[in-house]
Amino acid sequence: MKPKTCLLVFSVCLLCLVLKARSAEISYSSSLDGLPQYAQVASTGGIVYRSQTGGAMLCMGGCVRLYGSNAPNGSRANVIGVWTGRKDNSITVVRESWTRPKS
Amino acid sequence: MFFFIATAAGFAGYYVPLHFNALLSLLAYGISDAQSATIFVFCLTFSCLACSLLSLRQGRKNRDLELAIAGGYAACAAAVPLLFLAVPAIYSAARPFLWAVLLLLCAALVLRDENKKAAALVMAASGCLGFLVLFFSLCDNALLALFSGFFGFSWEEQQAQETQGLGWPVLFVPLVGMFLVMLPAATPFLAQPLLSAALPLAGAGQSAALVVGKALYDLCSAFAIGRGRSQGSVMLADAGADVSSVFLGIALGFVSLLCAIAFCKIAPRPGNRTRRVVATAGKAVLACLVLFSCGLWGLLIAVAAAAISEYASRAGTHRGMCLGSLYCPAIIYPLGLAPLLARLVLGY
Repeated sequence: MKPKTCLLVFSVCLLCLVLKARSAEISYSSSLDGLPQYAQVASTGGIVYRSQTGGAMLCMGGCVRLYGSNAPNGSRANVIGVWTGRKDNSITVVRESWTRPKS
Repeated sequence: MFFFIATAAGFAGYYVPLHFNALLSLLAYGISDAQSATIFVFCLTFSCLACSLLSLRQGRKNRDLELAIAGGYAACAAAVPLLFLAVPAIYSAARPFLWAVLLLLCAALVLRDENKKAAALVMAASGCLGFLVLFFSLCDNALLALFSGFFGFSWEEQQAQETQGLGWPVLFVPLVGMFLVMLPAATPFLAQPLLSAALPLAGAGQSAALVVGKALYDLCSAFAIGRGRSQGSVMLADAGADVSSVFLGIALGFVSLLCAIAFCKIAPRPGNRTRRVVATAGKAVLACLVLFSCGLWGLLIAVAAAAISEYASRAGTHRGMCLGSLYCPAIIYPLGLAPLLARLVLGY
């Protein structure tokens, strides 16, 4: 395989992976009333963590997805945050969205 | 019982260029007893590692290499108490600056390469892939997918280097090994600039001794500095092994290593055609393993990694530059650049 072909294959695969990373389930976006911008995530050494807003999953490498249950009208909050690396396990919210409840 | 099974399984390294971590993933599944896990992990690791290193050599050159492997292990094993006593304090003090050391070593690797442009490109591209895969957790067992692509799908016949006797540099090997175990994601390849600066005539013997010593310290890392530096180390910690069982593992690992050296003396060397057939079958098995444990996205990650690894080979740079997939995230996180890059990827 020629070097340029290798780079082409790599670029196509990387693009697909970027699209996969961006494909969070979002149907409706709004402000995040009720969810703190800096959520505290308890670190106990496991994979699944609990936060004050509901369940939270700390993925390998530091990406945090919070699923809040305190959203108004029962809608589901989906937050993607970044672990700041600090010992208090605080996260910086990168992306936030609401999912409307099915009526 | 576990000693014999693990040592015999490690002999596969003489015929198939399979990393011992991949073998551990395949064979150590379900061993939860601490002592059994310790014996299995140590014996398989060093049996497989010795066979892999010796499979590249032929004839008289083997003797120097055998001495280097056994001598490197013995020197590093003798220095293990130092790893437990001195390294934790040094690691604690140096931890805030380790990203800078990693950055300097990566820069030295690129600048020492014959094709600097290609080396920088491979380091950056694999770094992007590593960040994306690890940060967004795109599949289970992401490291298996990455490393299968970088080094598993593109096996090639390695050129035998000149092996020189180990001599006094055996004293240097444990120190380099302990330094490397403090760095996140460090491999012996990263120490090449250090080795060539300290030992201008360092040959395959010193490199092999360092590979063996680093593997030994990696297995001890979870107990010495509280960080698992290899899959085997994580397995030991998960199984609840303690320091005393680790010392037992070190002793039995040395016996396994000597058994592997003896095996390589009497085992028939496979011909080129056989090696090609075995390598092709091995790639197929590896692809199935990646698909089974990482899913379709894992396979796509492995394809991307294989493409950049193939580029490195064609462009005349070292495949070890693909380890940028680990080095770059390890530099990016402490610098606080991860949120910025995540926003870039997510379009925010």
